[in-house]
Amino acid sequence: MSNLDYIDDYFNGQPTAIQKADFEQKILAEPSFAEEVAFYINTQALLRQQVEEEKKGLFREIYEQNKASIPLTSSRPLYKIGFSLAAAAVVLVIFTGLWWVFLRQPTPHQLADKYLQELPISIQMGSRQDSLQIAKNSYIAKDFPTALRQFEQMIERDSADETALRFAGLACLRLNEYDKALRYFQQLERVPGLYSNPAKFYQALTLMERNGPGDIPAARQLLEQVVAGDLDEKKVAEEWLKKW
Amino acid sequence: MRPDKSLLISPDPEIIDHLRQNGSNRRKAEDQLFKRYVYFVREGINKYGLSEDEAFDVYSDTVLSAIEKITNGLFQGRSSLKTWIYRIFHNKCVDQIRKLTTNKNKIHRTTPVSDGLLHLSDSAKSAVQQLIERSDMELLRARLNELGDNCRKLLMQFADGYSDREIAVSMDYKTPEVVKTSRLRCLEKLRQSYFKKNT
Repeated sequence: MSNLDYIDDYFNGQPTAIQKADFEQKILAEPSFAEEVAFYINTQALLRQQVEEEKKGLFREIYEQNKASIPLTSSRPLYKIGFSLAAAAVVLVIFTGLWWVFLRQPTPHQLADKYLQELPISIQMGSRQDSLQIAKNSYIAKDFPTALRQFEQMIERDSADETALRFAGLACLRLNEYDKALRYFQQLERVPGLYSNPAKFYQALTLMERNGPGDIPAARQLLEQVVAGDLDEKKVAEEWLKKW
Repeated sequence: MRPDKSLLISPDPEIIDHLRQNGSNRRKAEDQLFKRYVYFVREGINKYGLSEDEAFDVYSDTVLSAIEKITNGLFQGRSSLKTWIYRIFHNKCVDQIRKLTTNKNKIHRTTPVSDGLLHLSDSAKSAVQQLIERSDMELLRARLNELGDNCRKLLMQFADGYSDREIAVSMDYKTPEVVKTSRLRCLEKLRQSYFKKNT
């Protein structure tokens, strides 16, 4: 009878110190027993190796069957995808903001607004306060109703007063009275013999400010006329046309 | 063939429980574990520069090693299952690269120490080790393959870590004692076959 039962119990149980000592003594004393222990250990190692080979074979089958659909990375939990989307949204908002601030082309209405805000008004230096200067001061002080009234009084006195017509139109613009502004600028255009007459450009400016149906194409036509006719504010008109 | 998606969504605790229970679900859990992180194979190719076969072998060894550790209760859940398995995979990739880039492995290649030897003190170990080195493993393999299917299956299940009680359930034996008797009978049959033709 072989010792396999004894050997099996030794390796799969929890032998006491005395049992261990007896077992090891038997190995050293009985070569045939040592041979059986070596056989048992070899067999278990070989069986484990075969188990692993068999499992690897099954893994290989699974791998080959699913090879095409193996993801490049782990499937990400939804909350991580949420974080990614949030991060992407933040980046998008930042870039949109930067584009809005620095790269976005202004609309014709914005160009007109900016022009009006930055329009320089020359002031005659001196102690004498004539009606033109008083009206201009009202305009500079942004008291546009008063300025308009004062310029209109001047126009009543002289319907060809090109300065009064010009500022009356501009004051109307600041008061959003576009139709009235157009009328003053058209009247200004008709004033004969002027060395400098920005009336056509101001009409375009008024249309850009009003921004009603058909106003922008009409303003564009007027600006093109300013450029073609080498009229006042030609440079500004050219710049605006480039931005459209 | 489309992948079985159910294998991909089993939660970690379920896989670990099935592996630890050593019951009928263990085999399925092993496949689930393999499929869970199979994308590591690509990582082995892309990050460690292994061939596809090498990366597959490393990953398979990783999963087998993880299964053994989980079954023996050595995975304590201090890190996530993925982190833990990736660490094993990384170490095995590094080992594989070392094997490929040095000749030391070829020069000093030795038979891995059998687990059984670890149970013995130095003097007994040395005596058994000498016998093991003289063993004809190819012959033993051949004799093992000549055993009947039932014997082989019985011995392999035991070698895979299943207890006699678990084998009794899975292979329809009446009691664990019957399993043990049958198992030892198969071992004896193999021993006689091996020593008879080896002498």
